[in-house]
Amino acid sequence: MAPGPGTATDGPLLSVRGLVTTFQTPKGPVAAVDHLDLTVGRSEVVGLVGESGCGKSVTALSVLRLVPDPPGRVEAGEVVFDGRDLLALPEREMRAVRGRRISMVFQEPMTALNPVFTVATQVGESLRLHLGMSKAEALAKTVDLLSQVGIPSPDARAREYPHQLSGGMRQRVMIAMAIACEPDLIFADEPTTALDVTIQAQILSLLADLKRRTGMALVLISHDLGVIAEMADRVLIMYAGRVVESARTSDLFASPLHPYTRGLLASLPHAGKGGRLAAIPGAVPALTELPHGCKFRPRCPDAHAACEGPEPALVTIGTGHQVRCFLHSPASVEDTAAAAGGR
Amino acid sequence: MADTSLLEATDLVKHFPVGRGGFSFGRDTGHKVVHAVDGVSFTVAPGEVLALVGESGCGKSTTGRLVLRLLAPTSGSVRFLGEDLFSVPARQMKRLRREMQIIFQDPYASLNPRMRIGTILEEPLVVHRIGTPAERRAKVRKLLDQVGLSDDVLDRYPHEFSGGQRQRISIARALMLEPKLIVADEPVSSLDVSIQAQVINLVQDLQAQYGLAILFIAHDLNMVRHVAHRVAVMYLGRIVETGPVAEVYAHPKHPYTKALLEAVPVPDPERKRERHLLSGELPSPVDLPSGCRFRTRCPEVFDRCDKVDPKLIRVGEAHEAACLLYE
Repeated sequence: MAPGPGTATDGPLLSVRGLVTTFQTPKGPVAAVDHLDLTVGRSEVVGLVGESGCGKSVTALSVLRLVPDPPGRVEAGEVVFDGRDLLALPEREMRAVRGRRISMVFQEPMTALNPVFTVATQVGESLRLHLGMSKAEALAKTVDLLSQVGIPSPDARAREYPHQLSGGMRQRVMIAMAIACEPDLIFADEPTTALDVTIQAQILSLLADLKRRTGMALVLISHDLGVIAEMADRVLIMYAGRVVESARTSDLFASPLHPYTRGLLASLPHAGKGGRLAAIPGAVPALTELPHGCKFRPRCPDAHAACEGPEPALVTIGTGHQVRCFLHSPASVEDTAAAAGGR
Repeated sequence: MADTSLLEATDLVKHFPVGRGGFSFGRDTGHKVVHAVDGVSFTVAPGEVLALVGESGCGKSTTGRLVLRLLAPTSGSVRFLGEDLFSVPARQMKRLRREMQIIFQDPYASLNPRMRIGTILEEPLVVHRIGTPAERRAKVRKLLDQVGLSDDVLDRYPHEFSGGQRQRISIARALMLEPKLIVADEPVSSLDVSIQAQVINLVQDLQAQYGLAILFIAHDLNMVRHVAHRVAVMYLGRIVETGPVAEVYAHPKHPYTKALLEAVPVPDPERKRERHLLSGELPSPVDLPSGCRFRTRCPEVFDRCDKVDPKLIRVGEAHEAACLLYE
């Protein structure tokens, strides 16, 4: 893909540092994302894994500056995309990034598509807006995109409304919209969760194929470790707004370090594994009632006295493998903050 | 098999009429129907877990509702405890209902938001006039304990609980009458991964403890392998393959079962599988393909498939598939 104007060719495509996004609630502000770092290389597929409320979708919305404000607010951090800090951009310039350089595929294609406009109007919108195409050009390109994402009889489908399409077809339309302007990065938020497994397999293979063809990078948000294992080069495991472990996919599945990651992997039913499932006890805490110290402590089988003190820091153990747990490093968030301050 | 089975469904058919676009409001709309369930037969033995699996629209939930007589079938019969469910008098039906319960998929929709948990759990006993008030309350406490909740939840309302806790409450409610059969319609698919395992363990413990038979309706094939004894794979209103779980997963015969199993993502990045993607989408259940209804997506389709509608035939020990490849 041709680099856009002002492209910085070295360095990662996306670098998020210290991102804090809060929401106002009746019980006071809560941090849905708390000091999150995320790096995405060019053409890299990064998996964001976690359970509902862990902050994975809010991370994507924060990068795209789509967090509804109020009640949400990006409080701190920097989001450097291709050399520019997105959080500092005027809204007008941000609009030139959204959909053009970074796009997003949402989980629920029925709510993300506008029911009163045809497929052609919705897919063509970004083509006309960002690439200045005429209506006729946009329609021709839309038909081409629909056939690229494997929609049969794209001419006819382009003239239809979302309710006339099946769930799998709608998700293909969402993907066609996302790739319309050949962005450098796509956030796909649970793109296959609402779909059946045979359709899910089709959509995942479509995404992998598009990635190969266009060289786009992909942040794949999912709670399904099977999907992640299949697609991602690198994985971040999130819990209560934090990254608790980050590693290359093969390392994460071969040697998970954080007790939460281990618990998630162990809780999956598996071929030849009879008897009881190794469930993680308890439930994800509400963001208004997070425990002191390590946020996973109340559910952790390996919790000890130190876990109630300062929160553990995300520490690099081995090549590109980071973990936030005192089992692996005694460093706490306060230690690293002090070290950073003293530099 | 018939005399030992708890539940026996024979040639169940459920067609829903559809309008030709727009609202029909009971007017005659031609004879277009959705073939939601289209000739389904199976048995469930006491204490057995039979999984019905398939993708959305295959008729698995409708089948679950038919065997509880929550829906009336277009044709076919269901025998439960030796009685024909669709011809027993209402009085007897009420007695039979004590022995059959359901757990729904969405615990946010299946608990009345204006009732306290204690009232919700006691209600089945009240309806069936079982026990004195004191006995009922003791029973409620016992079940709460068994599903891992303390009795300080009795005076609270459903909105105060998480999805996993609500599903525990639904399970306790289903067990209040100590039924012989439970239809569990996707009982964990709305829950977070770490909570799914807790609820599945609970279901399995109670299944063993009460000797429950469960009709487990699910689309998560990994979960089905873990929970069920036997599995029936459905496609467009028909069972296309059925057999013991270990046998069907190890030696799937029907091309649809093979594709379904191959499509399940495996949490192991080292295992790069060759995947035979199914092309196309589910045909409309209104206008079914001629012959085999899977032929429009089948990778192994051949010339007879559009002419002959295959019946379930034996392909192994207690293992049946409906495919012309095996005839």
